[in-house]
Amino acid sequence: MAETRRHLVLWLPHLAIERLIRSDPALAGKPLVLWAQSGPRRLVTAAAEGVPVAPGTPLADALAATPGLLCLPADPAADAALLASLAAWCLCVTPFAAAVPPDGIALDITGCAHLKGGEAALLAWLTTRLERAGFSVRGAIAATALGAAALARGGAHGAIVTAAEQARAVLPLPLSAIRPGAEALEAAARLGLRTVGDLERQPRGPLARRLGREVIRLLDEALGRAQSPITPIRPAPPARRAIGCPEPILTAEAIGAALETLMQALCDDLARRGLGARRLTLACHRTDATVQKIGIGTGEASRDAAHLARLLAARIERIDPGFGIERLVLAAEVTEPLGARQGGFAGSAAAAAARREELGQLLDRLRERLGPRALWRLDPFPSHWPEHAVRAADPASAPREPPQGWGAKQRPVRLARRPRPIAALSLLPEGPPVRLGERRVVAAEGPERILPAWWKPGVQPGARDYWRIETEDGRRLWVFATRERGSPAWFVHGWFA
Amino acid sequence: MTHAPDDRASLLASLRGMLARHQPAPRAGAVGVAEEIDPALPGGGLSRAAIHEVLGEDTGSCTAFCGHLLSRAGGQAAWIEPPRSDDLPWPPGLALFGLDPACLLLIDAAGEDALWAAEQALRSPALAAVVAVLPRLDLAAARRLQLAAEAGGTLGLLLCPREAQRSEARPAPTAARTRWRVSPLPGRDGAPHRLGATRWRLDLLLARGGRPARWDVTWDEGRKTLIVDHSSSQAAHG
Repeated sequence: MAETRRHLVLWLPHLAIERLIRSDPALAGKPLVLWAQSGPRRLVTAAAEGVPVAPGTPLADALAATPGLLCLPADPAADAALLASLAAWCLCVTPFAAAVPPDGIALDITGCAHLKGGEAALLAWLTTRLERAGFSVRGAIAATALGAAALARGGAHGAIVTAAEQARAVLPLPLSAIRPGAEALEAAARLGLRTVGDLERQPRGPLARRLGREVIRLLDEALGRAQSPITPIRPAPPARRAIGCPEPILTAEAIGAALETLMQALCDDLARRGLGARRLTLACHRTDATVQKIGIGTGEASRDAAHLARLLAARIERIDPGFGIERLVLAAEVTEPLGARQGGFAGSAAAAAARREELGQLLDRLRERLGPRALWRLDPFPSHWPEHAVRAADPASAPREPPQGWGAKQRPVRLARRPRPIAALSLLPEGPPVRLGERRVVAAEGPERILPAWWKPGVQPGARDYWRIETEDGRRLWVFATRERGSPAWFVHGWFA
Repeated sequence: MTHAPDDRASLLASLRGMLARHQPAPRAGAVGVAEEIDPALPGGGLSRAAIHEVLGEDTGSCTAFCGHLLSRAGGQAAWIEPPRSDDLPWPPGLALFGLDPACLLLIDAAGEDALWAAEQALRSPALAAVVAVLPRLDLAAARRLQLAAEAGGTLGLLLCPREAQRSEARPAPTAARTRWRVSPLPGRDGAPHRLGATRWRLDLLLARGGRPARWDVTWDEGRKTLIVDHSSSQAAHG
């Protein structure tokens, strides 16, 4: 379906240099050269405009030929990160954007061009924006991404060609425009092949043997005979809504109002498709070609616009609007099927589902303010050691069935997080305490000896002799004695009713 | 009012009707404390869609009393406690008072956050009951919680373990429907090597539309219910 898609490619020929100038404006206009270590030599990777040094020249040669160069090390990782962030910013015009390392951005603009009033207007808008942000840009639109890239790199800046015209537009371009790789380029030069058209006129079999099959693929794609999809920086979210602002907005109130509109539209979309959102992100595209993002997750799939907007609204403060936000994109990144809700009688399955949804929303709200670790449930666990008889669990998870015999013994209703040492007096070496701190013990039941999990590796605490005791003022405590060093040491571990 | 003195009954009925019109319909009336105590309480138990205070110095008996009420309320319950408190409600013990560990949601929050969390939890119809361990509240905050409980139809229990003595000396005004004090009583057995059944003294210090009262109760493990000891409570009540 090559003829149905439209691709826009932006080529940033001086990306590495312009990245440095953006971070340090004082470098603008200087004879700047970037180099990278290649084996024992330092090679020039990029040079500022007007500096007569070709990339690939040894740095020493360049310095000898052009004294006074300002040499800085190249940073390919930072360049790639910048390219990725620019590609992310381009998501404001299409959901499919790909970074094409080292210096290109490919956009699939099929069906998106009308947003800016046509393909020419869209291309002009993108180039103006990027130029204003300090980048030199060449752009072109064609049916295939590689065709558009060849046009952009081959000097046909601003070209917009249909699938039918593409071959004719690409044929006169120099061979380097399709980037066949250094070796293939050299081999082609030896054969006297300088343009794409020269390549096209050769018989394909021998050409593939001499230059490699890859070159044939590039040729077909550049001419629009074959199509390979671009690899977007992120898959298009299942549901997405965008709003453009006539004037850049700055205040939290304005963002909140836009968010409500977007959320309502998104939730309507989700309802039509029977989905609920688990993860939402709000991307704010700023006028300076950067993106600010906030996101939330929900415990259960939801498409309740008021609830989701309330969760996101709490984070609006974290957005730095800079010089203004011109476009907001709300996307449901993760969705789950969510059936239509139906009212029902109390006690019916429908009422239970509604209550579960309410509970999920309550948990989301609490978690948003108190933090994810503030909400928990203690699930029964088959262990006789008191500290391990329950385990903290996520309240949204399915509850665990209590194991056999769990909760049958007399156990305290509150447990100390760690046993509290207490001064106690007992008459017999193995007997119950008769005084506990300040208080007299009037009754004691026990002892119940609890052994640690001795079969597990590692150092285990000593055995404990637990007593349930009642003090003279009627309180009931769970105390234990350990005899690790001969004489018993007493601890309070819990409180009975 | 131009009612004749003997028209008192009809006056009361009309007033009750007026009040009932303004009150939101409670979800399912009231949560029973115990068979023999409920008739003495306005509404036949602790009314849902309202908050109730539980005071007591002994953390164990207060916790168990709340746990018992949560299990009676049925459904999902939340328990709000300050984070990093030294001890925590322990499901193996609360299970003896009928509380299913799967139904208990623990929330760590203190201060402003705890008040906010309590309000959110009370307002949510998803929960049947909420226990919040809070310091003494001022009237406005308590009123806020009461309104939240009315909106959600949730039973709210405010647990103030260390406030027992202070409030006895000078009872603070409150927006709560009832105020209870739970104190442990020594077991009945009298034997030094047996504890016997759990016993408490329940003081109903304050009840809107009811009278203060006192009961001595024993926990019946088998029936999972509180039994009033008639001998002592009648005498104490006087």
